[in-house]
Amino acid sequence: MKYALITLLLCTSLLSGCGSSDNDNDVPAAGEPTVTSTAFDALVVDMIENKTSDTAAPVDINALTITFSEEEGQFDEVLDN
Amino acid sequence: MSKLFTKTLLASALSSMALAAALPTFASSHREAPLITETPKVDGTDFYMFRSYESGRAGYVTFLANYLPLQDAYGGPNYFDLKDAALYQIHVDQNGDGQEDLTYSFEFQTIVNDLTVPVNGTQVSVPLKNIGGIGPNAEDVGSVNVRQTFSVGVITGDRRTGSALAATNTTDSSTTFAKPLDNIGNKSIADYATYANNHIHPITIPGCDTAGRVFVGQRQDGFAVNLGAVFDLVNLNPLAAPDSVANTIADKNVTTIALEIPIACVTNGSESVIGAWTTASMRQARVINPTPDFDMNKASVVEGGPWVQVSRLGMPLVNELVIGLKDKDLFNTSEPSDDGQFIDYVTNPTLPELLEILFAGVAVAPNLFPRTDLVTAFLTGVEGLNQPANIEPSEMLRLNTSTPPVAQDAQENLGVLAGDVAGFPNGRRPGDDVVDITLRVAMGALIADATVAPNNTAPLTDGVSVDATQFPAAFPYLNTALPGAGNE
Repeated sequence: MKYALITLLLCTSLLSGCGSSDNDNDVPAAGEPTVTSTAFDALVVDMIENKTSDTAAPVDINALTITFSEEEGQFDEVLDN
Repeated sequence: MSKLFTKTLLASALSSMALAAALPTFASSHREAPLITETPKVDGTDFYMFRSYESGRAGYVTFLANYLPLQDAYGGPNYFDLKDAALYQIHVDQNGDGQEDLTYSFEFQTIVNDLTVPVNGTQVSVPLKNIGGIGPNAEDVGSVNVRQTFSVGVITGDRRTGSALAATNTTDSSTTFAKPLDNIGNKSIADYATYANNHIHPITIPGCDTAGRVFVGQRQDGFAVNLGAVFDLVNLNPLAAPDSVANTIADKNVTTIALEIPIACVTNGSESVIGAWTTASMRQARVINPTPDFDMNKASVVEGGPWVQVSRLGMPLVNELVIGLKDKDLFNTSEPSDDGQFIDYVTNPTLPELLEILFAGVAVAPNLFPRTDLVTAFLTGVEGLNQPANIEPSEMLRLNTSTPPVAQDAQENLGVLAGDVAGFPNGRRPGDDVVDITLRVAMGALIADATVAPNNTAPLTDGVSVDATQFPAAFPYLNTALPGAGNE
């Protein structure tokens, strides 16, 4: 169940690899600042795997609400490569 | 708390100080911002740019970018390698628009040989950087366990998205250059000066007909300062003789990136003034590996993502003394073209006010706002000296490449203030006493009206003297690194 919740959290982000982002978190009401809820582990994994580039602009984390999980093994994907 | 009350409080607290007229000094850019203290390998400490004054090299510009501050020479067994997953860059603005037109980009690679020795029939990896004598030649690496090489990219246009080509070693057309080990001591490296000099490489810059020179390696820190006293509420006497105080960091080394380029290859042909600054960048994401495994090529950390600039240095002392604490990390990530966000720190500087507070009745801050004199010194260059024809105010070191170099023994350590127009702030040479110069300018040396700037002719000094005779008059211009052992 915990794994499922983390997966859900990852897929509510705008990070690549999670399909389309139709979650309400991504659609601020009129007049509200644009804030995206993003899981920290997914953010890091996405940066390393998909945004490692000499030409890419840094990710503006000020625009994100970053959530954290105590789940172990969150970064195995990048450590095992 | 009112300004008047603050002044009174601080003046009272300092009243026991016997220094009748003490005034301050500073560190150039060593550990100057909170974040950079966590990553010393990418901490830029000093940046120099000048017409080469080595005999026969007047047609070149030399850049020196120092990184990794306050190295104790005995800091083994790992000593002070630069960071592999980082960009160390020197940017050049050729037309005064505040944006880089050329970037020299240095990247380092650590080579681990995993040397072993037989122990009771088993080959076992050694824990040291070397297991025998090293040098004097760059190729003498047989007993070296860990060393670094570097490459130099030349980027035209934007530093991230511009056109990038690799510079090559003129000797063998390789794109890889050897970096010497640090000065471990004279049992490991018997003649370090010769060994280091053998790592000065001729470099072929794409599009440049004449070769330049490049060196990256450990040198003695050329900056001179009474560091501890400075940050103890300026606990020193600056009206003593200019060489009355020992240089606190005289026993420290730094790592120098030195590059000498023909003038014709670093200017655009129509504007003789160039602006330059150095930056370091790291990957935005980092994951610590809980089980690094050398045999499986599993690194101790995995880094990735876009490059993020974490260090910036052009004119000396700016992030130390001009930028407010809350914005120091931001300044290190910023680019000159965005310096408008910091303008209040220049037009309404805090340093003179703090000096007036700390030394009430002696130091008097200039009463000129906005401080257009500081805008000239820091953001535009001085008209007729080192200001480009078309200038967008931005902070960087500016050099008029048409100003002839001055021989070492004729250089004035107060630079332009002493009539030596080839010195700071028209570029910066190792022997320029930028602390004294900056201090005097901050207190109004560029303001003619003494009623506005009462300290405008005061011979302010930090008490630590530096001049050109303390350094070699040859590339890479900074002194040989202090040894970790022996040679005492």
